Amino acid sequence: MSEGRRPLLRIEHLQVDLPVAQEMRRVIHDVSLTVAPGEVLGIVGESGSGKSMTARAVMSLLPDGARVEGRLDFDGRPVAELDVKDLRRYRADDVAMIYQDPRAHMNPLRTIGSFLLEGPLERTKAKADAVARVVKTLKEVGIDDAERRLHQYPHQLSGGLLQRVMIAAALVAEPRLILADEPTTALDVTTQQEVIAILAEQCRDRELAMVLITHDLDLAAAVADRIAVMYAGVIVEDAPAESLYGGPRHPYTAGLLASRPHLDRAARLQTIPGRPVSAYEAGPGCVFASRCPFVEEEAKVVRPRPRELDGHIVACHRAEDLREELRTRSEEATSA
Amino acid sequence: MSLLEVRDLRKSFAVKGESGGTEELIAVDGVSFSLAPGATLALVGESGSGKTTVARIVAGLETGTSGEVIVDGVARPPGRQSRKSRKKFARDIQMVFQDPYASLDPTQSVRSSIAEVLREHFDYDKGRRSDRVAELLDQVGLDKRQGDARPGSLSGGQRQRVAIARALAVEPQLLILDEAVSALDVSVQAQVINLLVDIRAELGVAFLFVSHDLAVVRQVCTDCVVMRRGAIVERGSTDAILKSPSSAYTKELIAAIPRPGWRARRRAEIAAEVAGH
Repeated sequence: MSEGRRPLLRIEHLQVDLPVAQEMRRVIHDVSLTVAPGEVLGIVGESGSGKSMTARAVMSLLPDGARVEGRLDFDGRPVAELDVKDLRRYRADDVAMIYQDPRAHMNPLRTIGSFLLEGPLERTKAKADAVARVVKTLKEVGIDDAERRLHQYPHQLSGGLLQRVMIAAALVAEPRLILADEPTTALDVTTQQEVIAILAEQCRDRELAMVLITHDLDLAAAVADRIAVMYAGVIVEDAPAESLYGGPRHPYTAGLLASRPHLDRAARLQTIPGRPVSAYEAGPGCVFASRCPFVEEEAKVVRPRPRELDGHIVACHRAEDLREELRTRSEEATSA
Repeated sequence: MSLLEVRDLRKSFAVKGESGGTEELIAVDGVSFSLAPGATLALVGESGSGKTTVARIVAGLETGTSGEVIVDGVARPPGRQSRKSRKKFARDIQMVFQDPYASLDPTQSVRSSIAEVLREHFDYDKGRRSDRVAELLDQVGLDKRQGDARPGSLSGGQRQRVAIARALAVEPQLLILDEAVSALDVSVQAQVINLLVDIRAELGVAFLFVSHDLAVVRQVCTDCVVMRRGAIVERGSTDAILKSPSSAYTKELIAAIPRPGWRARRRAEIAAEVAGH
């Protein structure tokens, strides 16, 4: 971890509302985060938790009519204050995004080469140099026959190869931050391993910061330095990956850990009752109150503020009381 | 006697080759397995392994190029089936798909979509049918209000429960589940896995469970077949396969699953290690 270094990305009390059928709906209640250079932050959450919206807010690519409050600084500068030219440069050069479905983000009528060269040719007139750089980057992400691939179309490549092309497109811009939104969810496990290894390797070699957005706690724990767990538009817990995985301090994190099926045994799974709620459905109290087994009156009416406990940032009124209880629960869930 | 017997099943497609001519793509290559009444068997593999094609042939949604599917001692005749024959097999075999958004009629209420299945297969009067719908809803953990809802207002987990209720309505002997919990959120996936385990214990229905996820398979199936490129590479009890896989491919598959202390490794690194041993 890179404690003490100036964060590259700092989000403070981000709140986002989106217009849905003539009314504003809250999609993010309160998100505060930092990512340092060279650090991998995992954002883990279920559908509707706001994890992808957080990434879009970072890119300043929220849907039209979105209302944003709070602060979002990149390298010390507020993104909201960038003018059109600087914002363009920020999106093109500073931050790169990798999506779940590469096919949906490539023009099927254009070759891989044309897709990859678009960015570099904006910056240089020397086409041969640009091609050489693209080829080198493709080789770095494990595509050995790069020259041949440049002339192929997206439909001629498998999902795993296309995702590597996507990563190459992100890297070729030499960004400082990578936002990877479920980059391996559509891939087979063995391909996932390859893609994650490439991402981790590139982040390490290039001192890149990465935000890895995923629904998979195990994947996040294996790759990230720190994990932020989101639920209904709120970060309920943010802690070093190992500590969060081994000793969750929030009931939702503990529930999520306990509900995963295990490879080493067949046992009745612990479940979280009900379904994940969206941010706009949450009441005035804790967003997890309707599903929490430890809920008390206070949590139904007062939204807990994130605070520090044992090196975790946790948003739960009862975090201290529940320390022991959650520890025994997660031990039961992880021991055979 | 086996409930289901699959013998030397093959399926090939004609595809356009890179040079323009037609080539033969072999999707399923000599697959054989059997399933006893009430047993649970998983077909595990990655994309392109042929697991879903096998399941669809067993369900009668596709026909194999050669080989036999024998259900309850009766071999399914090759080629297209008559409506009567399809209906007879449907009484024994039902299927639940991955995407409950695509497999339910958005204009039909949950109750009426289950009643429709009952009307097709049983001679119940109205009262009996409505009792049976209530019983099925209860079995899959849906309440009365959700019975009146249309799929659009239900969550993914609830829709998958509806799909399970519809499949159970005909009292099948075999339920084919094709990645049935893969699209669900983790906390909801756990609920549906527990539901499947309960249903099996209660009704004694056999499962053919198609999945890419070995941890999920561990919870639901006692036996397991690992497929790759259309062929079976390993078979046995799920427990034994996970504890001591014998094929290199199964080992690779298990090693690729993220877990605490896991580090993603490049293929080249894995290959170098295998070569070094």
